[in-house]
Amino acid sequence: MESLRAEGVSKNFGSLYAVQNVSLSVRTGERRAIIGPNGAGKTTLFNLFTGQLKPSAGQTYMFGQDVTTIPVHQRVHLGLARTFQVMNLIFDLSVLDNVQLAIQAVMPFRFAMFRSQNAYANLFEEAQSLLTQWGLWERRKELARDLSYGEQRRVELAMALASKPKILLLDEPTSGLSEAEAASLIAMIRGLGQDTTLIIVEHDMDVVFELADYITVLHYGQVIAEGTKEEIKANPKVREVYLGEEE
Amino acid sequence: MESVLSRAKQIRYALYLLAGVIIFLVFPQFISSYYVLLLTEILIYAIFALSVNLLLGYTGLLSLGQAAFWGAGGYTVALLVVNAGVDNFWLCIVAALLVSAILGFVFGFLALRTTGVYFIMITLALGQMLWAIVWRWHSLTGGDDGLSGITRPDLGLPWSLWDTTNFYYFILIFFAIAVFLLYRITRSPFGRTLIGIRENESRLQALGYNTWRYKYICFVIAAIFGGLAGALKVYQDGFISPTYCSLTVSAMVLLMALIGGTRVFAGPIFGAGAVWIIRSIVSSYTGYWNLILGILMVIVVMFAPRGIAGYPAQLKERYGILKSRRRF
Repeated sequence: MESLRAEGVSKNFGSLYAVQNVSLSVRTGERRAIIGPNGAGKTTLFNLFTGQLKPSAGQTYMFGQDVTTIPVHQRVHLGLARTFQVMNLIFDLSVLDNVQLAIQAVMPFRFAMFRSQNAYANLFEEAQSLLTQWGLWERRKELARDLSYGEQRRVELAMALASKPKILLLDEPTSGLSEAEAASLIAMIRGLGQDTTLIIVEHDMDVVFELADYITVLHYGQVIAEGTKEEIKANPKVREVYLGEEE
Repeated sequence: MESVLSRAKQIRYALYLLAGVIIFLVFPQFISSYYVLLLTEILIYAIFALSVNLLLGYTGLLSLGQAAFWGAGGYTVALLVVNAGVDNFWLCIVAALLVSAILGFVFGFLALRTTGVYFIMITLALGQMLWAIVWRWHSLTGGDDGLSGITRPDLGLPWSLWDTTNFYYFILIFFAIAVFLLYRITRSPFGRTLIGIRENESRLQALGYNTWRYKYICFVIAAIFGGLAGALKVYQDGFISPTYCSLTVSAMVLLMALIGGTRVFAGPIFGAGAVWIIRSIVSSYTGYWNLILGILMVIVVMFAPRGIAGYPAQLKERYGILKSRRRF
């Protein structure tokens, strides 16, 4: 089964081609990493998958359905969720509020107007189990902005998982984290069920090799290589443009 | 399930409610009709300011055209009573709500195509358009002369609504209903989502929210309550003129919300009270009411940016008594 596919996708900002004629297909349950030097178009490609950007050319598909023109919020209901490279929480609300909003987004009562949000016991229970799972329950009453960076990353992930996504896009999930924090986060990500398709943009090669089983390499918006870890490590072109630059 | 309010908070809210009941229910029995009249107007403006704050404080949408709905509600009643001779109050009020809602649907549809400054400018333009229409359409609205002779409703009750105190209680019922409904809305999943949209709209879209639809529904709700307030005001004044739709009204109701505090549900009620009381005092001495209002606004923005209702929290935070938690 195929989860996500891009077909000849391009995105230009004026004369700058951030993504150029990219085609890729991700199987259900796959752990796919998208790597490439800074400015290779990784995040742009992400935004094309999630709908934050519309491609200048080409199509994107989820589970075989053409989603090229489908807005961001509808893709979530089709099973897509993401985290952001730059921390993107609702900073002035509590951790619990953040997670409850994330869960509520796919609930049938999300437009309900005349009952208090607190009256929806299942919403609270789900938030409780999610926060406990991510070690944030004790911090639930804090404002999101008052958490440490590592904790914020975990909130970000908890929120992405709140909609029980079938496809999860992680944009540099460990950036800015200490080694210990990154290690614990990686362990948690590895613990996700095999029915969740995972796509990771990451700079840190150790993280990539630990999380992904298949890798796509972008360079100047184009796919220059695709393969297993071993194939990518051995690929001379990749070594030249990417791995070689890593000290 | 965890109780969100602590025991101390529950007691405090009960005390607020008690104070509110005493002020609004008992107080008017003991004050002169001049002050009852003042209180009636405050209640009506409070409904209006609460509706505006659903947009401003909860959703983060600054509209400069809310007088359109105040005017739409008012003119619907006035036209039905004066021009069509309808004397059924319920028919008039339902029509006023319906017209405001329809206008809200249209204006919201146009204005919410845009965001930020453009949204503000379009609401301003749409509001001014309505003002121009009622001003120019002399044959229907009486233009600048307005429409007079709007009689107080006769509900077949033993109390005449021409009596100031009776009319006050009549308005109080609408106020209570509006407060109850709006409060429920702000605590609901829908209302909580509005707060999320105010804080980080693109994040909410990424979570799966159709934020446009939320803003649209919110805009229409605000229009309906604004229309209700306008309709009640016309019954009180017995007269309507294009000033109902003027920019001054839109600005004043915004100031009521801001001065009262946009981040506390009851803030706009305080704001309506403060603005209207100061106005009634000031206007007996000077005609420069707008000047005073402007100075008041500057003072609030500089020294109490969270408004009257947000002032205790601001003080607590400044003196470190309580770590502020802007969760509302």
